[in-house]
Amino acid sequence: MDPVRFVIQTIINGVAVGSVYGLFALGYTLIFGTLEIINLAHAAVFMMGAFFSLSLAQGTTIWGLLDPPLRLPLGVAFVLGSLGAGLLGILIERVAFRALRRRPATPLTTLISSIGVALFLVNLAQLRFGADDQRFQVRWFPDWLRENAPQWSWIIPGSRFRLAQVRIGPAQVQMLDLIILLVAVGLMLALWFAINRSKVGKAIRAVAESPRTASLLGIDVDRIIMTTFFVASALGGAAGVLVGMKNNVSPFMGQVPGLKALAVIVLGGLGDITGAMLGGLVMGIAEVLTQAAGLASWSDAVAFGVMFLILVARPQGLLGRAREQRA
Amino acid sequence: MLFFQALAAWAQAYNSLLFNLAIQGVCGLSLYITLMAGQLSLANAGFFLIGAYTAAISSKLGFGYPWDLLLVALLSAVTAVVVGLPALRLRGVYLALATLGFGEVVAVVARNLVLPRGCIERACIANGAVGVFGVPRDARHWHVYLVLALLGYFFYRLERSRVGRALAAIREDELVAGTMGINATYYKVLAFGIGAVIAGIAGGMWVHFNNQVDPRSAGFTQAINFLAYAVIGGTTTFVGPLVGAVFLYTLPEALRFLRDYRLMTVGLLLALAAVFAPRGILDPALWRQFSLRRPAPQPAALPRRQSDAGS
Repeated sequence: MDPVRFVIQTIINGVAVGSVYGLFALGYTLIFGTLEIINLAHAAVFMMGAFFSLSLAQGTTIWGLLDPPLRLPLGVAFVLGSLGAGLLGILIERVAFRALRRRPATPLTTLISSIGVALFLVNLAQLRFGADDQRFQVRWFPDWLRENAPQWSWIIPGSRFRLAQVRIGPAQVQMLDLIILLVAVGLMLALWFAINRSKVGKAIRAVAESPRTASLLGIDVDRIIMTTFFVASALGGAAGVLVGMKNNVSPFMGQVPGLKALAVIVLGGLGDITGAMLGGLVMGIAEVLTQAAGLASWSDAVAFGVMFLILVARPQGLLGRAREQRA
Repeated sequence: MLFFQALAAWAQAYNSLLFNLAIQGVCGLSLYITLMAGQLSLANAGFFLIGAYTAAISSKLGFGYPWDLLLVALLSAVTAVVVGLPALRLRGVYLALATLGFGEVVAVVARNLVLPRGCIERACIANGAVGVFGVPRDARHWHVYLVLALLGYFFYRLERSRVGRALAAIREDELVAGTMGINATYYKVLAFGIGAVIAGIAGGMWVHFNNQVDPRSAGFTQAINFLAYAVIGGTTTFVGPLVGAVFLYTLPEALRFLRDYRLMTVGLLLALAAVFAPRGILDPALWRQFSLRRPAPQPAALPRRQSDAGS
């Protein structure tokens, strides 16, 4: 294969996979940053987000409440599904985390309660939506786009649109990958700006630094934690929809990405937002490269082996600065 | 007489459930010993898998039960030292993640493990994702009960021994333990190694009951289950993980009448138990709430480390 084409294609595929990992891992890392716990229910939220969008896109009667089933365009279903996942996150925080924050609970207990919630949600989804794989039925191109497609070569020379593929220079890329990439990267940038430039973001960072100091400064810590859960879960749900569009939607779709995202946040440093994004991209490209090398069955071992090594050698992550040991 | 017949019939019906329950109890104990030192290790599912694979492969190569358990113990211990020495410098969630990574690597290696030579009756020894088949069913019920009893005695003595106190000191404060001349690294690796050997032997016995093992036999879910036994049962004594294992492992069976809602209910109960009994269901303070008598005045609780995240 032409090396230039291989490089471009690998980068785009890897970034498409990796940006979704990053989006998903952001939720873990946001919650870890504020509460210092791993929310193991996050993978279930990811799955529920995909199911919310899927049912909105395919038409749902919401347990027979609506007579003509509600059927929304894909973009709207994506947004609403993600928001629904965010609301679910708030609910999970109320049920499984808030009570434990007020008790003399160890992080172990929170781990177990979040696992309980995850088990509940996965089995609920299985009951409500069935255990089989389901697919988004998507018509990608509005007519106006298909008619005007040739003109897109103005933007990138030598590029052109086909039905489901885009040609960028010498490389061919799935349209779906490109859309996933753009949406995921867009959401990540939006989050980065929200955390670093907005007032709520400042409050979130303050709570992450020290909840007690933040509350002394007049920040409503419970509300900020709720906001964090909403944002984290909405991003997780969005990642779920994107993965569901690319692969399948099933109650068990969260398991593998859920574990991989743990490796991603370790790679970027626990609680580090920029690190999680870059860690996701690195992980995605590494995965595509191991697949290209014909070692697909070892790619998990690479991911978790790297995670082990990073933890042992650089527990602060690739980017992070060492924090002093706190007794 | 009728009673014993009924008991025998009941034991017959729940044959494999009882055996697996005892195995889960052993696994809960294997995690408990690292918790005694205050270390959260999720590697024990990995050691369970290592044990099951080692026992399965060595017994198919002619090195049969129960002697292959010696090999299992040796291999688990060596792996535990090699993994534990670097990993146990980490604490809390970092250690949990590192050991989780170890478990996943073990599962991937098992998935890619193909031993084509020495195929007996066209069945290869280890066959990638399919695993190892046709392991002789040599383990008897009383074997695992005996192991469980020995472990009970071991932990009973351990909690009252110098080693047990050293582990407790490390759990309370590693720095202070160090200033008292306790070699924290040594004791942590020791606890990790003992836990690994226990988990490995559980895996070895299990595969000699289950006839086959595949890479999905132990993974993330089991690692979390072992932890759940300890947390739900309580971690103040070794009885906690055992009670937790009995409770959580028989719960899905006891809830069979709920049919499709069964596993949902298990999840809900798990979350509720964690929220309402954060120190385990054996916590005396929990049961005192329900007693009708007025509670006796309690000594003031020691100030626990604040869960003020990030401080």
